[in-house]
Amino acid sequence: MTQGQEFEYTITISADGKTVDGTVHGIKGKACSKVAKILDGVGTELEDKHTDEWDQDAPTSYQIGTSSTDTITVGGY
Amino acid sequence: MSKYRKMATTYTSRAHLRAALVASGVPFEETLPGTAELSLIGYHGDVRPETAAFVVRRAHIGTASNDLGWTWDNQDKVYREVVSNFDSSFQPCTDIRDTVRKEYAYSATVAAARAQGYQTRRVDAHDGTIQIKVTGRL
Repeated sequence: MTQGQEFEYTITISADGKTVDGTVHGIKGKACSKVAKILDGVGTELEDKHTDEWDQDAPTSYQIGTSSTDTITVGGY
Repeated sequence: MSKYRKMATTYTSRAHLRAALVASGVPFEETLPGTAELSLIGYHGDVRPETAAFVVRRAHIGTASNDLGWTWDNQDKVYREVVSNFDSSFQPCTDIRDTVRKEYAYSATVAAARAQGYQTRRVDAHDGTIQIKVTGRL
């Protein structure tokens, strides 16, 4: 059974409330964009950067055999 | 770390702005959606030409203050602060504006996170910042 990637998104609202920034941890690959989208409702984007893990492969799951519980996870972690 | 985003807080949601005003703890008045905005009152008790959908009356700011408001800009589809020159540098008014901005950002962020089924935890830091820890699985 595939569990998915656990993540932590640390968001900081500045003392005057004018800016909000956040960094996604724990997700490899481009899936972190989905999590980062929760800031869309705050306002206007000032900065959007990708860092090292952006280009790493996310874990890929294949289900094989006759039993649906047979799972091999390849890549990523 | 794989992605970093920085946003400027912009008041686009009436619901989140209202939630922010409630969370700030300062008394406020509001219009019903779709009705005329409230007139703002100046420090002499004079009715000013500016109007707003949400108003913090000057009595809750300072004796020399004017009303503070948030008016709907129908062209840009945002709420804008209406603040007098005097109050723009008056610390009690600045404190209210900053708190409302922070609570707006908090309300908008947490609502979006919970809509995705993520968990959130709030930490109010001594330096005045608010930290939100969002956790979940993808």
